[in-house]
Amino acid sequence: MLTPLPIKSVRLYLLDQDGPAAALALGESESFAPRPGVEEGRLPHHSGVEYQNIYHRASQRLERVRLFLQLAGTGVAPSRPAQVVELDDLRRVDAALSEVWLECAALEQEQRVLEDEHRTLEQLRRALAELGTLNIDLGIVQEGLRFLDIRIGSVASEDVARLRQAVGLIGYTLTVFLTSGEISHIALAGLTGAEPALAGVLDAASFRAIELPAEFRDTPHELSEQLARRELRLQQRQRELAKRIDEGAQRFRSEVLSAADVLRRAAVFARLSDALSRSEALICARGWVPADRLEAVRSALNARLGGRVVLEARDPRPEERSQVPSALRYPRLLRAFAALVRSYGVPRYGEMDPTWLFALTFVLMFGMMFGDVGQGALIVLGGTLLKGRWTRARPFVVGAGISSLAFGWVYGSVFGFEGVLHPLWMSPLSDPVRMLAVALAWGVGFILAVGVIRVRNRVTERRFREAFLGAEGVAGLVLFSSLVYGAWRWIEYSAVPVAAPAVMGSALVVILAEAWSRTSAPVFERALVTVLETFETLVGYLTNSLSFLRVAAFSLNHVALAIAVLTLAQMMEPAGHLLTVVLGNLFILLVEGAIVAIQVLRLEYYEGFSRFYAGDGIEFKPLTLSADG
Amino acid sequence: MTRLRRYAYLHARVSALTQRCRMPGPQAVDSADELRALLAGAGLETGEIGSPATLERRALQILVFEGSVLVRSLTGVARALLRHWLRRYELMNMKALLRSKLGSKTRAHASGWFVDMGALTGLPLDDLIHADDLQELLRRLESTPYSAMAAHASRSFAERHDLFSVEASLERAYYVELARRVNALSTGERVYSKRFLGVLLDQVNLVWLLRLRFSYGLEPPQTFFILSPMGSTLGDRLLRLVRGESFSDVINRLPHPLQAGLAGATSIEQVETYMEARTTEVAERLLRTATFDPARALVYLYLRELQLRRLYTLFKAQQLRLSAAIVDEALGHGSSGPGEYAR
Repeated sequence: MLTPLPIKSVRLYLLDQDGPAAALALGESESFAPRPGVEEGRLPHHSGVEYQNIYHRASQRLERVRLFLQLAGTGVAPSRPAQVVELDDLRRVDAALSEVWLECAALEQEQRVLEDEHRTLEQLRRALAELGTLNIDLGIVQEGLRFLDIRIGSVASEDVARLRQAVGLIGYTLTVFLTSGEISHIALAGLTGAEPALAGVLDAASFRAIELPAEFRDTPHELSEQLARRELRLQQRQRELAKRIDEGAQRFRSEVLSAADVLRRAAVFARLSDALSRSEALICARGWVPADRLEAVRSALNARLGGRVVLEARDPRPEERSQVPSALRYPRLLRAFAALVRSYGVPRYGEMDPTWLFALTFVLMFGMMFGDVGQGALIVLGGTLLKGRWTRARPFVVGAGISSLAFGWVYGSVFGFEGVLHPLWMSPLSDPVRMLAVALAWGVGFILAVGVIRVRNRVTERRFREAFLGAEGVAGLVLFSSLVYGAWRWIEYSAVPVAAPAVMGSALVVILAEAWSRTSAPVFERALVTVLETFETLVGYLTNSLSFLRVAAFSLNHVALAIAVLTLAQMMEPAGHLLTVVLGNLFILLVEGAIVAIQVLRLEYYEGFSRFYAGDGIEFKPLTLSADG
Repeated sequence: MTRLRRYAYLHARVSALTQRCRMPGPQAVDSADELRALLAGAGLETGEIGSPATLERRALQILVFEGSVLVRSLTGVARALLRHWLRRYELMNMKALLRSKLGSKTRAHASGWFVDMGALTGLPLDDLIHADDLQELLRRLESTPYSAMAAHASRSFAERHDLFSVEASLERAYYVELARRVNALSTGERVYSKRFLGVLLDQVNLVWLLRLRFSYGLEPPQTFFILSPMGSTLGDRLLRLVRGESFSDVINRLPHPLQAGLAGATSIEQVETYMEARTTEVAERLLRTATFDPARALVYLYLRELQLRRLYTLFKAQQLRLSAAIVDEALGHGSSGPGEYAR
């Protein structure tokens, strides 16, 4: 729980034909994360490329078929033990999907044609309304004239000006009679004889001639009725097509589901292929396995392959640490907090996982800043009532609520009323300076705690110099602690023990010396960089600590808001009084509650995580028997 | 924000980068050492270059890298303009994809041609390479930054079903969009960019005009439509030029300074060399005078591309052991003066 699980670097040697079976076993174990790439000096060639290519192609086809036939999301989880998908099986599925898609593509094409026709009819209807402005007998356009060439069609609106100039070269005129968005409907007229030249420029402009039906020889009223009849026929065809698509969906349903199941099982080997290398009949797969799952993986492989596999495992080398994925396991109560930590980043391998610290401090700080028995109880109630996908956040909300409830008892506040309960400690407003002092002490303690964690992380990474001698290492913590201690002694007793400045001075010298030795530059620049860097880090300690004063500020703010609500309520009649108290508490709960949660998150991320948590680790993603392996 | 503050960083960046942008002389180099020195000076270490293809890829990588450095120093409309300029390299990827779909090239072969655009990538190549056919490829492009170009190309292909129309459509859409982005700059900031683009489009338009009319045999209206609408000298004269019945007729219809410079030219290559020299002269002048201006980035990238192209020519010539005369002609030796082709 404190750090990612210990991981082993694993190498599997097996026969080429056992690759898919091995992948299935690894997928079932859900404990093997492939390591892509080829290790130098080992088997040089990649394996499984053909399998991968066919898998990807078949997956894309499946996706298109599912989308078209609206069969998406109708898959069934495979039963265990799963059957191995060999290359030939995959080829068969790919071929089957290809045939299914061929049929679907034809239907899709027909669908597009019908949609185009529908759009065309709409345009024709609109064009018909506008064609009257041309004052052209459409019959003449249909039959053509001996000396006059007339064309009607559409082009992109942005090309109209250019086209007008171009056709002007061969004596044609261009008139726009309808513009709908990016398309303009135009009429071209010119003397006959220049048709070949006109055809070329119309091709270049992607001119689409409006197909005037043979019926377009009549009055607009008649033409309008013809269009209506055509629309009805189109709708009939669309209904028939929809029926054929439904029939296709029924006919292909089992085949598609079966293909989906095969591809789900094939996905593991397709994903594993990135980590394979091959020589002749032998393949080697590299990956990572949590140490406590190694035997389970070994057993799963032996059960599938009958012992025809060699598994070598070792600890990751120091130079490999940056590539080792982090496998994290949390108790159910911590998972909601883990999701928030994950939004900052995944812990590096070996780095301390801040989730437990985050859970504890978040809950405590929220309570400190939002302490009220009644409001805390409501938050707990709200958390327990969460349903559906929100249940994952339940521990988070309930934890915050319990803390708020507990601190409400400490402060003696129930729905803003302070006379109801005797406080275990005191109300924040009764001694604001003390509240600020406590908040500052909390902040100092927090900074020191995360500082210790940072030192631990640096030691794990074998960066001993930085861990012990750096401004953010032990020396820096010693300096900061002695500074705080000295300041406290001065405030309390107006005297500072001799040891404190001596310790401060020594720590400062160590820090400056470390920074000096780390920097390589001309002397003056080196001195400047050393001093400024050290100064910046030390000031950072102080400012980060002072940032925790907001804990006290928000606790005071919480009480002040409650006073404001109660003051308003007191001005009302009984009914209004009750309503004001209820609505006021609701307002504080929702608005101030959200603000406090955000402020606590800010303290955690900025004052906490940024000091010790790199969060640039790689998530452990094992092979599984899901849709994408 | 004043122009000075807005473009000070760009100005400094370009000034630093021009140290490597020394144009090779108009003649062939005498020795391999001299060529190596030239390549090294341009940032092309010969140790990593074994063949012209490798050199070409390395050169493109340099252009994309330097382009992305300059893009980062700009914001807003100027950044969008420069990003679009750099799409000329991604257009190569698009053409490789189109050819692989229409021709017989395998996916692996097509992907071997791809230019790595790094953070500037606008094409989801892994997705596009798996498209079943050209029409589907163009459809998938409609959800990328190339949607406008893809829409044009898709209509072209639906009508004509040939690659030429698609590629011509893509090129045209590229320059139309480039002109639009230059015009989107504020009045004061677009002066130099417009000047450079005008000269560049004159070059592109004239060469394409001659090629379309007399190599592909297209009619004047179609030729006119395909050409780009901007161009400082030729923009308004294209209508007159496309009517030229022959190569020399078109040259004679050119406005005075160009007509004098190209009088006697007999091939499209000679025209291209002359126009390129003219554009280069303007670009070099703008690089010296356009301080704190987005045009500085454009002209620098143009000159850098030209420099790398010439070095590629020299490298390939040496590999093929071509004669100095052929190399000189390829580099445009003696083509920059007026009336150079007058006999």
